[in-house]
Order: sequence, then C-alpha cells, then structure tokens
Amino acid sequence: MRSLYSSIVGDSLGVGLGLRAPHVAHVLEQQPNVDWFELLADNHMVAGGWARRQANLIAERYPVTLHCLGMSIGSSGPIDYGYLAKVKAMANEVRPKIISDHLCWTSYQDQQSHDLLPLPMTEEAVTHCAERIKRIQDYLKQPIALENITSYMTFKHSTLTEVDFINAIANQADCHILLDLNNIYVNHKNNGLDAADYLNRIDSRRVVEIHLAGFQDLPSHLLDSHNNNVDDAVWRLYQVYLKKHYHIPTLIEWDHDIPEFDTLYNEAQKATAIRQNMGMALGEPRGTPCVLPL
Amino acid sequence: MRAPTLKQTQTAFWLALKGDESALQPMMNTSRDNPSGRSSAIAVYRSNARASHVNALADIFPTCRAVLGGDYFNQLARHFINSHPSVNPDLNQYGQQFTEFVFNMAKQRRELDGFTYLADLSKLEFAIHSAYYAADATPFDPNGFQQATVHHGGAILLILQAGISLINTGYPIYDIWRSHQNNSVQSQFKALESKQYLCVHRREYQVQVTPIDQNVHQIMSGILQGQTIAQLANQFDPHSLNHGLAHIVNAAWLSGFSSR
Repeated sequence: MRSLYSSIVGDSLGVGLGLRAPHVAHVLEQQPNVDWFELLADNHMVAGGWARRQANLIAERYPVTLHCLGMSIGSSGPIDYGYLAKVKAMANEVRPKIISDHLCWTSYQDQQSHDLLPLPMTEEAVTHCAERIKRIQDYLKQPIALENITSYMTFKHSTLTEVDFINAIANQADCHILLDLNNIYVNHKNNGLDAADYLNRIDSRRVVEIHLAGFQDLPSHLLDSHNNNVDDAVWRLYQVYLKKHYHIPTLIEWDHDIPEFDTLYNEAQKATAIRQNMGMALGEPRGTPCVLPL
Repeated sequence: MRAPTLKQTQTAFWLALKGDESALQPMMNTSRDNPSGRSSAIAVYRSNARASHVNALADIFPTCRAVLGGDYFNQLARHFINSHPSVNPDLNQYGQQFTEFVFNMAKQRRELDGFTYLADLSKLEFAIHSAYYAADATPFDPNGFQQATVHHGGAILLILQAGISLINTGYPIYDIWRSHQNNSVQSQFKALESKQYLCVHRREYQVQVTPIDQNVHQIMSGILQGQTIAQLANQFDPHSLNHGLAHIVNAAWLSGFSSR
C-alpha cells in the first residue's frame, strides 16, 4: 500500500540522519552523501548566531525536516503560539519537507518538563489532541507529523490501544504519522504492546517518516536513550514494515553519547540497503499481515 | 467511579514528578504492577526531566561546573531546578536566575566559603550563552546618525547590538574564565580583589569577552538604560564621552539609534 502523503513528500527523501552539534562542521566541510537531515528545531530556534546559521547552511545543501519537542500537543494547558511562531519562522527559512512533534504532553500550566510525558489513551484525549493539532496546522499552514513515543507505564483508564489512539487522532486532525519503530519495540518490551498488531493496523497512508534509534537495556526496562546502534530486533521490525512500505523515508536518530559521524553513516547505509532490497522485492502480495520475529 | 479526566491525569502526573505519587499510582499499570514498580516507572520520568535541566545548566555554566566539580555542580543544579521550574519550551532560555541562586547559596553554605566570585562567574557565562544565541548584528549607519543629530540634537538614543552584556565585578573572573578556555586548572584561584569591567558581545558567530575601562562601561550602561546623548553629555565630561563613544563605535557594538 502506498502512503497517501509520501507520494507528496516522501519518495525522494530516502534515508536521513538526525543532525547533532558534534557533526555539523564535518557535514558542512565534507558534505557526505546523506539523503537528508533532520534538524532538531529546538536546537536552532534562536534569534541568530551560529546555531541558526548552521540550520540554514545545512538546508542550502540538503533536504531537511524539522523535528520539534515543545508543541506539547496533549497538554491540557493553552497552545504556546510563541513557540509555534519560532517554528514557523524557522520553517520559512529552511523549507522543511516535514514538520513533526510527539504525541505526548511536555508542559503543565506554565511549567515545562522538557520530557515526553504519556497520555491516557481515551476518547477525550483523542478529541483534545486532534483539535489542538488542527489549530497548530492552521497556524503553521502545513500538516505536521505525529510521532509515537515510548512509555514506561500505561494508564488504567485508557480505553484505546496505542495504535487505535494515534490512528484516531491522525484521522480526526488529518495529520501525518511519524512511525518510530524503536519506540514500538521499547513499548512492546516495557508494556506488552502488541507490535505486530501495531504495524498491521497503523494507518500507513498517513505515515510519512520512520524513526530508528537505539535503546539501553536496563534490568527493569528498556530506556529510550538514543545512545546506541539500532537493535537487531528493531531492524527486524523495519524489514517487516518495509515489506509493504519500502518507500517511506527513514531517519537514524542518535542523541546521547554521540559517536563519530561514520557510525551514524553506517547505520544509514544499512537502512538504505534494506530499503533497496525491499524495493527490488516489489510485487510481493500486499496486505499480508506482519509476522514479527520478536 | 468515573475515570479521571485528561486534566486530572496530568495534574496527578505532574505532582508525581514533584514527588507526590499518591494520586498517580492508582491510575497506573506497569510491568511490575506493585507500588515499587510504579514508583520505579515514575522515577524514569523524573530522572529524564531532571537530566534535561541539569545538562542544560552544565552546558551554559561549564566554568562554574569545572570550579565546583561535576558532582557538587549537579547537586546545586538539582536544588536550583526544584526552586526554579523552567517556563519556556526553549531550554536555551533556562538558567537566567542561576546567578542570583548561586549568590545566595555562597552566602548560606559553609562549603562555598571562598567561592564568593561564583555568582559573577555565572553571570559572565550566562552572558556568553545569551550572546551566542542573540540576533545577528546589524551594521551601524554613521551617515544616518550624522543626519539624525542635525534634526534631533541630543534627543537621540543609541542602540547596542543584541546580546551585548556588561559585567562589573570585584573578582578576577575574566582570568578564571580565560584559563578555563585553555584547559588549565582553576582550583588554585582565590577570590582576589580585582575590579574588572567586561563587555560580552559577538563578532559574527564568535562570542568574545573584552575587558573595558570603567568609563566605557559607564557609558554603555547609560546607553543600555536608555539615556539620550544629551543625558550622557550631562553625566560625562566631553573628553571622556568622546573617547568612550569612539571606543564603542570602533568596536562595532552599536547597531542603530532612535530619537525620543
């Protein structure tokens, strides 16, 4: 099945890397053969200076996407239009292919957690988030992509599965989905999420991007630490999902204990090889349920 | 019993992040579904949120961190975070009150005896951080300024480049900060009496800390306070004012002017 939106934004993007400060000089000097870069909007969302200039220099050389942390989409407080104004100003400069943020809340009243906090998966939260996303999209004058997050707990009063929750919001808000396969795997291990069911039922017409990252395996849980290579189990999820959706742009994220650029580059090459193999295998029966070797 | 609303859920979660888990625990499912398992799950969120703030402060105040040592700095940072919640989604804006906090801590804590300069050092580091992210400089128009003086005389206000900060300290913090840039050891520094006036500014993309004399510092302070040329002329003798303004113009610290 071909994504409705990827036909507009996705096909030419391929495999990208999350741009992080230690790699900027290398990327600008060497201009490595990377399909695109994701800019963490919050790192460059400043009045001026080198951080902002970096974003513009990268955008002059590569396609970019903007990944945000502060929209606080599920917050019960008011929308922060000051933050959105900064996103919009930056988007006007770097012309991102995709603007994304997380299906979570980060702020309470006037305070910020600077962490991605989980939502109860209820009809009330669906309506609330969808309404806010509509207003955000109206303000930005472009659709956003909503990323599924990791969680270390669930709420007893949730009435929807995670995949039904994100599908319902994306459908009501008419927004895109950023499918983070690492987060699905972490939630599978931490909370018993049915990953196969998730991948079978996610509304792939709305998926415009896939995130891959590494986690930390702690005694009591998997921590979504983005400080490791993509785990083999997550690569297997990727292969399974790509069987039906090989064309969706993919991003390698690495946020902590950042290694040499080549390490990230090699991860991107691995994803590219998988995509190419899947592309060549086109013609397989479509709509076959995913069977996950977890 | 009615299910908690979204707002009730978020209130309970927020209180749990602050340490009161009583309202959140009954709402939670975790893989180890007992109070200890639920506390562990909340602790992950608490730890993530705290780490974001502590790391931001460590990035802004690297010299203070080096002077105090990582462990003590982190302890101080956690104390600061508890009393000064972040109110801006942009984490780059966090930490402005750290200087005042450090000043008070240095007065209260015996182990910080001898670190009275720390507040001024943190002020310098926050000024450097602010300059790094400040708006790009706009060139000063000397011809336009000359014409404006003809029309408006002394009612003209000078405007400094965005991100310029002035530091007035009784401690050798410039030397402490500079030695940290060279990776030398700071611990043997003592809080010597040494009056220093500094201008923190950005040239292109490079933040610079420039020692200035008291006269230039006072003129720039007046400009930042919104004093007109006429008010500055009343305050300084002509030679000092001309000398000071020439220094400010030559350093390209002016971005424009307006009339009152």
